[in-house]
Order: sequence, then structure tokens, then C-alpha cells
Amino acid sequence: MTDNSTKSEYTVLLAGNPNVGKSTVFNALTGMKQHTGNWAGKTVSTAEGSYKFNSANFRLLDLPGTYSLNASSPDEMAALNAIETVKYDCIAVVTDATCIERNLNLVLQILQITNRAVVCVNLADEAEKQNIDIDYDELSVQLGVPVVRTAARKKQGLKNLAEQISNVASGKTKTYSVTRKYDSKTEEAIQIVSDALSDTDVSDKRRTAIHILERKQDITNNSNIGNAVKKAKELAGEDIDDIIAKTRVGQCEEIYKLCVKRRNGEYRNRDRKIDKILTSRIFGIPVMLLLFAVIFYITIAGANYPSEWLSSLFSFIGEKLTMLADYINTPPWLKNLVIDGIYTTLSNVVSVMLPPMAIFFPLFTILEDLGYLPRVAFNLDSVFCRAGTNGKQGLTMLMGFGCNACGVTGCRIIDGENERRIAVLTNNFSPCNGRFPTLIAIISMFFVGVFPIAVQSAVSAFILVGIILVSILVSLLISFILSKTILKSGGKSFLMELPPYRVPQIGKTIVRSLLDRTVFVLGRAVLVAVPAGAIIWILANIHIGSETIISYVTSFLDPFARIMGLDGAILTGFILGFPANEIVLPTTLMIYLSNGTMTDYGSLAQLHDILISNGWTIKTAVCMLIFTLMHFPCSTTCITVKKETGSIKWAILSFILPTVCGIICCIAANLLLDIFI
Amino acid sequence: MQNNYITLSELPMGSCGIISRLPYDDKLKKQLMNLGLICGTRIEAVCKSPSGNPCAYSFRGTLMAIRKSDTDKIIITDYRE
Repeated sequence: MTDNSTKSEYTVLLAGNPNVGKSTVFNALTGMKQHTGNWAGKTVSTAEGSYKFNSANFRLLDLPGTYSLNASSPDEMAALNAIETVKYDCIAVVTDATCIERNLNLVLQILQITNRAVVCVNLADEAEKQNIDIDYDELSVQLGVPVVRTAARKKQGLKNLAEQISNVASGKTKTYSVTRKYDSKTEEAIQIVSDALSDTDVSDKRRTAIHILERKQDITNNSNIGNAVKKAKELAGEDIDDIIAKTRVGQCEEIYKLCVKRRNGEYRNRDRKIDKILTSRIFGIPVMLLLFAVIFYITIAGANYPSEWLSSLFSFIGEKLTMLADYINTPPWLKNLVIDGIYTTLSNVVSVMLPPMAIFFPLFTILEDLGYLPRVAFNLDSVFCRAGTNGKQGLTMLMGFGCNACGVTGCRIIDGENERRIAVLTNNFSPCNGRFPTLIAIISMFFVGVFPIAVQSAVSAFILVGIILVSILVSLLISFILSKTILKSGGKSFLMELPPYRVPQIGKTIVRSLLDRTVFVLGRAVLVAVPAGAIIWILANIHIGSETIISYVTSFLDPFARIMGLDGAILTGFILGFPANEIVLPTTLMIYLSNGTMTDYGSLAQLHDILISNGWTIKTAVCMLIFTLMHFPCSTTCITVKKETGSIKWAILSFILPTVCGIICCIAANLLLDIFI
Repeated sequence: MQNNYITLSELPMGSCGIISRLPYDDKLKKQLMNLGLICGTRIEAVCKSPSGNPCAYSFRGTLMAIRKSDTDKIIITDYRE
């Protein structure tokens, strides 16, 4: 082991199974507020943070949560890749004290690659509650590396963890690799390969030999080693990788028996009772629908007032800004561009988007923290199975309701390549938070008027749930078509952990999801709203002949839009809303009023009047709802699709697919409604 | 106690069994092994999803959802109520 004691910066990898509180440990160490979740594969990208300990700087890389290093899913591939390529000083493996036996498998796989490691036994408080006694010293002896007890949520043991990481990274603590025995044939095979490694500079030949034999690919182009592997397999059988994997499970069991007293780690009774209801034949689906209806209801009912306050606050500030601009003699074009263009767009996006987001995201996060979302995937799997995919797509779809870009990134949790692509391509069918305000505004204006005011919010919520069900059905149908045609899939295996229910830390959750998700999505919206505001203002205020550019566009699009039951202004609104869906309705309104600025509608009643006077009918509203559900994803989502699939082809398809669906459905709805109304 | 071989999918909810053979499908076998499921592992059928497929199974302290098409390929023995 090299002496690292003089280094001032160390690199530490954070590995572990999903659902073990890895991200909580990461946050606690770095203080960086990375979002944590209670389902497999929440850490969809490798997060990076840093912290100081004993005047040294530690760079911490959070790997995706995986059960093994088999490279069978993108998450596992990413984890293995990081371990093989990053020059790290220490790997901290986070494990779950309540089911440490399963976690040991990954620990042993990592220890097979390096012994520069620290094992962090997290959730120790929960394990103690369940009367699971862990002998940390014995575990440390068995593994050859330091073992630290932590309860990251209660901030216990973190200092010790930082200290052990520092000691291992600097070489102050000497770790050792424990030799684990295999059966005699396998041992001979290992010997053959490790002999072949003798002329390489590999430090631990036995360990590397086991590693090579377990991975199927020939990891070297050294023919000497290749031949040795061939010979070893002739001796011990082609399934030597299975034997090694199986023996390791036995090793885990042995270590577990030695170090953990009171075998009480079985699935707990409390969870059993909850699952009896939440996944039951009778209540499973209704409870799920009801829960989402309640969440949407709270979002809609709760967002009304803050939206109005924000909007009047922004117009107040807008007036002051105008006065200020006049006072310092700003040129009129600049004043208009900045205030009428950029500022108005920005304030519109913020006041429409912030309140529902600030309510929706924390509620969603609480469900996530509870451990309920994997149950949703469990409940929905059979439906998705019939559509040729699996229940995990249900989770990415739910994430899409928050933000499609987040949903697309989340698709990394899906194992099969084609299944993953299907989930990516169909994610945009889930209306995101940027589209909810439009949907809600149209529902409230056109569809609930006949109900008493007291129940209007509730009726809106139910209509919204109906619309969401439609979007899910479309998503399933498209998935089915894709899985039968260009992305053949289906009938594949599906394994998903149902993590224990955990009491969410409500206060923390609200603050965290407000800060993390809301601010993140809002920040993005602001980033696109500023240039979009400027462009829209220029289009709406530069005249060619007697008309503005935007009115040329509008009248050009009008005939086609009419076939779809919309009009030119709405379609132009959608096109200009490519950077952010939130500005579709305000832009449309701006075109209607042709006053060159995006309009702040004071109340829904006012907005309703404007729309009616521009020829809106129930039919327009229906077609608008349809096209809001199904049209091209926003620019961020398109870029994310390209990034996630690695090809522009899929990004283009993700653009065309919902747009074509939307156009067809709008035309169909327009024709049908013409017949019936 | 009975001593006959059945597939995991035939194990009634609330009953336990011992894994006696894993599927031949290499990828699935590997995945199961990495979760700690090998011959000799005790497994309990815990609950069904609303449609009856997939089902949730408990082993080594973990609750795992597995589809029927997969549990059809896993043979267990020695099951008790």
C-alpha cells in the first residue's frame, strides 16, 4: 500500500445497495443537499461533493445504488466502471444494518477488487429497534477493513466514519484482504489464473484471478492470461462464475452468522399489515388512485391563493421597475424588452409554476420517503407487463408528473435496453408540472362551472385524475405498440425490492424538496424564460410591413390549427413554449390581445372572458387539453433524451411521437365533437 | 411437512420453502444469486399484487417482487404452512 499520509486531497467512492441511506450519508458528510429517495436507483447520476476532515480535503463520489457489480444494468455498469477507472483512495460501502446479509454480497465483491475500504453499517438505530445485534469488531475482523456503525438520519457515527475513511485513505489504518476458500476444483482454477498473472504488476494475484474468472469477458488482451482462463474453465467447468457467486453467498451467510445475533431480520409484521392493504386485490388500486387524487386536490386548491398573491406582487414590482427605468432615462426599446419581454415572462412563469410545484414536490417526496412508490410499481406491474414493459416504468412515469426531464433521467433504473427506451420515449405523455397549471386553468374555466363553487376544486381534481388516467392509457398503448414493433421487448424477468416502510421526516422533507427540487426546476425555468421572453417580445414587436412577425406566424399556422380544433395563436403559443411549457397560455394570450407583452391575467374569470371573445368554445378547450397532454417535449427534456439514449435518433423520435399522436387525437376530437355538439 | 418439489409460483401465500433449483436462464440466475438466493435459501411467499402477478417474496431479510414467469422457473422443496 502506498503511503498517502502527505496528500492533502483524497478521493472517496461511496458505494452500496439501493435503499440503504447512501444519499443520506453522502449529504451528512458533504452537507450538500442531494435528494434522497426510498427506491432502487434513486441516485440516477453520480453526484459529487466534498468535505474537510483534519485539514485534508475529501472529494466524495456517490455511485448509483447496486446489488452487485455484474454490469447487467446501466447503474451497475456505472458503479463498476467508476471503481475500475477512478483513482480513489478509499471506497466507503454503505450497508443496511437491518438486512446486512444481503448487503455483504456487494461488500465482498468490492473487497475482491480492493481492500482500501471502509464498511459503514447504516440504519443501525432501526436494526437495534428490531433487536438485531451486530458485533462490529468481529465484522471488521472478518472483512479485514474498518466497520463503522452509523445512523445517518440521526447524525450518529458520521464523525467516526469520516475518521476511518481518512485513516484508510491516508494509509494510517492498515487494512488486509481476507482469503476466502472455494472448493478444491475452483481453487485449482484460481491458482492457474493467478500463476499466469505472475509476470504482471498486479498486487494481489489471487484476488485478481477470482475477479477475472467471475466476469465473463476477457479483461486483458494478454493471451497468456486468456489461455489460463480457458484452461481453468476446462478444469472447473464453464459455470465457474456461478460457483464463485454461489460460494460468496455462503460466505456472506457465514460472516452474518458470526457477527449478527438474534436472527430477526425477516420482513416485519407492521409492514406485512400495511402491505396487506396497500397491495391487496380490493384496496390496492383504489387507495392508489385516491392518494393521487388527494395530492392533486391539495395542489390545485392550495396553489390558487399564492399564485394570485405572487402575480399581484410581481405586477407591483413591475410598475416600480417601469418608474425606475423612466427615472434613469432608459431607451424605450430597452425598457420594453427588459420589462415587457423578459420580466413579464419571468414573473408569469414563476407565479404560475412556483405554488403548485412547492406543494406537489414535497407531497410526492413524502410518498417516496414512506416507501410507497415501489408498491405503486408492484401494483402496476401486470398492466405494464401486458404493454411489454415493467412496473418500474410506472415509477419513471410518476417522476414525469413532476418534471419530464427528471423522469427521463430516472429511466436508468430500468434494466432492459428496449424497455428503458420505451420508458424514455413515452415519458412525455405524463403531463409535467409545467403543464398542470394550463390543464387546471382550462378545467376550472370550462368544465366545472355547472357545479357549486364549494366543490369546484374537488371536481377539478377528479377531472384532472381522469385526464391523468387518459395520459397513462395513451402511454401504455404507445408502449405496447413500440414493444411490438421497433423496440421488441416483453416477457422479461422483473425483480424489484420493496423496501421497508420508513416514517418520513416531514419537516425536513418539506424544506429539502422545496430547496432541492423546486429551486432546481424553477431555476431551469427561469434560465429558459429569460431568453424566451426576449425572443417572444422581439417577435411580437418587430414589424414587417404593417404586421408583427408573430402575427404572420399566427395567420400562417391558423388554417392547420383550425383542423385540430385550435387556432393559430394557440399553436404559436405551443411552438414558442418549446423552452418551457408554462408560457404556452400566457403567450397565446399575448397574441390575442396583440399588445406585445405577455398578459398577466388577474383572475380566471377575466381569462375566461378573453378566451371566449377570441372564439373559444368547449371544443377548443377539449382540443387544448389534448394537445397539452400530447405534444413535443420541452427543450430540456429533448436534450436529456439525447443524453440518456446517446443518440439524436431517439431524441427526434421522442419529439415526433407525441406530436403526431396529439395532432391525430385533436383532429379526431374536433371531428367527433362537430358531430355531437 | 411435505417433501415434494414444486415451483416457487405454486407456493401458497404465507408459506415457506427451500430453494432447490434456480432457473437455467443465466442472467436471471445471476441476479437472484447476487440478491442471496441460492440452493438452500429459505424463502417465504408474502403477498400478491392486486392482479395476482407479480408476488412479493421474503428472503434474507429482504422483500422482493418477482413475476410469475420467473417463479415458474424456480424449484423449491420442503414447504410448510
